Amino acid sequence: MSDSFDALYTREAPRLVALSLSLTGNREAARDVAQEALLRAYREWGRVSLMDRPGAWVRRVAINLATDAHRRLQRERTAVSRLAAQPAAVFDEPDIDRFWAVVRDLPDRQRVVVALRYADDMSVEDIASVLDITEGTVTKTLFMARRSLAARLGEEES
Amino acid sequence: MSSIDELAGRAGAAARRAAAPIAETLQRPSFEMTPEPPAEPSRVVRQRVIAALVGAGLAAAIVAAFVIVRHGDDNARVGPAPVSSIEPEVTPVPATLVAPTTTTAVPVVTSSMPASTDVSTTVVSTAPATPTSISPSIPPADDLDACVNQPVSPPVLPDGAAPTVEVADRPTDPTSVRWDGSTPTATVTQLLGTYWDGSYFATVGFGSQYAYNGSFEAAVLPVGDPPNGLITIDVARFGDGCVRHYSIGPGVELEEAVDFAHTWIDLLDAASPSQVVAIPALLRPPVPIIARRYTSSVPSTWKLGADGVTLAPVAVPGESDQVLDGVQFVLDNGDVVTQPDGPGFLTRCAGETPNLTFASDPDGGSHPLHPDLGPISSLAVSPNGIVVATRDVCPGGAAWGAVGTHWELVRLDLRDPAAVIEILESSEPDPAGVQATFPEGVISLGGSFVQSISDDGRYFSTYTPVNAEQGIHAIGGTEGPVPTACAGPADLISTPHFLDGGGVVVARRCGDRTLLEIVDLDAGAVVASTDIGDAFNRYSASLQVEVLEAGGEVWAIANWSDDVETPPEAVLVHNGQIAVLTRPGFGGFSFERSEAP
Repeated sequence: MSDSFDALYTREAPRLVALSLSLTGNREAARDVAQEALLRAYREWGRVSLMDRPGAWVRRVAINLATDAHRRLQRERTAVSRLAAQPAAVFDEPDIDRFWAVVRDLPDRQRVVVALRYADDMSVEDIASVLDITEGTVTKTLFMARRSLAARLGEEES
Repeated sequence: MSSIDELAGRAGAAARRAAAPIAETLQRPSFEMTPEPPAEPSRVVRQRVIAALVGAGLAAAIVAAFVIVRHGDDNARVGPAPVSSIEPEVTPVPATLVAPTTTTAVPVVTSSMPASTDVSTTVVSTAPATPTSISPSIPPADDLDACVNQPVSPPVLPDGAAPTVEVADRPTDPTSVRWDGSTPTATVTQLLGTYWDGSYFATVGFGSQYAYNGSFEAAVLPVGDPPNGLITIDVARFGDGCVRHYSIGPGVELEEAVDFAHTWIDLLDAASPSQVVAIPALLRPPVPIIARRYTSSVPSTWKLGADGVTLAPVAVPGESDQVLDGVQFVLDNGDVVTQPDGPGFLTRCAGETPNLTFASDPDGGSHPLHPDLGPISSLAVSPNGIVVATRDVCPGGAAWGAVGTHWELVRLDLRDPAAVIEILESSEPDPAGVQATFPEGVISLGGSFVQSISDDGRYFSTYTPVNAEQGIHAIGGTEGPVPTACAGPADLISTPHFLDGGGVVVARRCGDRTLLEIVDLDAGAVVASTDIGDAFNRYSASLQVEVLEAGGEVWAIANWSDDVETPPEAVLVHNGQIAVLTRPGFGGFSFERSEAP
């Protein structure tokens, strides 16, 4: 069993961090989210290991934790914004920081689907599996998210 | 939108690159039960302790956030509960999670997550039904199941082959089926399991990524940047409340997908024609005919093509889509008489004053039409300056029903500076007519509203409500009854439309038939009478008639639905001939007056 958990850890840890990083926009929070998700998988391993897709389970945990962390960070940023503080850049390229910032402003589902698609590099089918929704819902959500992103990013460019 | 995938791809790669060193710092839990783990540098131990404490701190934050979420957020999570407990619980971390030198069990708080809510399948509310509108509605349960879960093969595959056997993409979780083509790019997948109401067609489709023919339409929606991403083609049949969701690609260009969607729609229409008959050229009016499609709260406008069959969406709403703030009458002398919008209902003796004022605007300013006219409840003004209006007379602000209160139909000639208000008709309040009582007054039957007036001001029409839904149409200013070709009683069932030179177009109910008639009011004779069938809304006992007069000829469009549950129907009448305008999914046919000659 430990081998299986190790395999899960080796395979998923970097991806969970990438997913969490895109959803929270904060390195520390992303690390904490990934760590906590893996700890939970470890603690629940007796049950999780019997699942068809343990990776989907731990990813859902991470998404929920990241959603909470994102909201907490938003509240904190709202507070510090009164002091004109700017969120720290996460990436070297400003347009990528901006991209993920706009993604984080999307509705919950759109934000998560975009993060899974691009940060986690998942297929539509795998996203549907992780979120337990249909592929049709994934494609529609992706379409709507891309439309919103194009509008928002296009507005800023213009 | 082509740069989105490129930017998103770079952003995703950047996230993964940035994640790698962070992931290196994670603490890997281990099931290895080593009694005495190898001695570790104190720095690593310290990191693990910090990691555990950070985890606890994060968890505490989660609990705090979760309390807020549970009380105030109705859609807080994106996934189902991965943890089974309902209330937060404290679970000791396994001892092996931290080094033996830090054997204190660090409490980790877990909490369950509420199940996800599929916000994208929000039930569509049915828009208020009117005789000239149709709204999408969720199909009955059996139909809904068929719409959502039943594979329906596409008419053709991208390689031109007919689809043969459908393949369940995931037999244990059949949310999609596919039809394999000769190449991977020729494969079509139908995505099952989700209901789409199709209202988004009107907002995402109507440009180049939209196909329409007869009873079918399709929207082409790129999910990723073509040709590398998927492209979905949503196919709907007007009026049946079901959108079927297909995807093609990757490997297909957007233009190819649009062409493909057109092919599908054409094939679907050919296989199941809508039985729409072209409008004969001789019947067509000199302006376009437009129709409304009610797929959402904001109807879209479509224009009938030169072939007399095809409707195409109008990208920029025309004048007919513009909503005036109230009613305006433009006079021959350039004055504009405005009747601002009033409330949705009129409270007798109280509702008119602040809402139904009016003004003339000869010099850029405005003033009341007549110092003695007072508040009105309805108004029509002919181009030559004849005003016909209705009003409640409430001496000293008396409540409706008090002694002295009454309703009046009045006429005023603006051409005469010394004109007095002529009372054409009046009626006393009827206590039995009171429909509702409010602190500010009552809503009550009794009296009429002016609806239209002839260009010369001699004739006008009124509508007298008899209950909340029905009323009596009448024409005023005539010597006697308006003649009709109907041998028996023949109530007017629509607003009369006055023509140049003393004519009027009326709709009458004659037995179980509806007649559209042109009557010469001056001569007291019926000029034309056309039987348009049992065209009648049984709920409102009415239908809507649009009239266009151009070059001495008259065209009329009648819109109706049998009742509020049935799709609207429409016909065009000209020179005693009838053309059926009814199109699946469309209602509210009218003339595009902004293009009138």
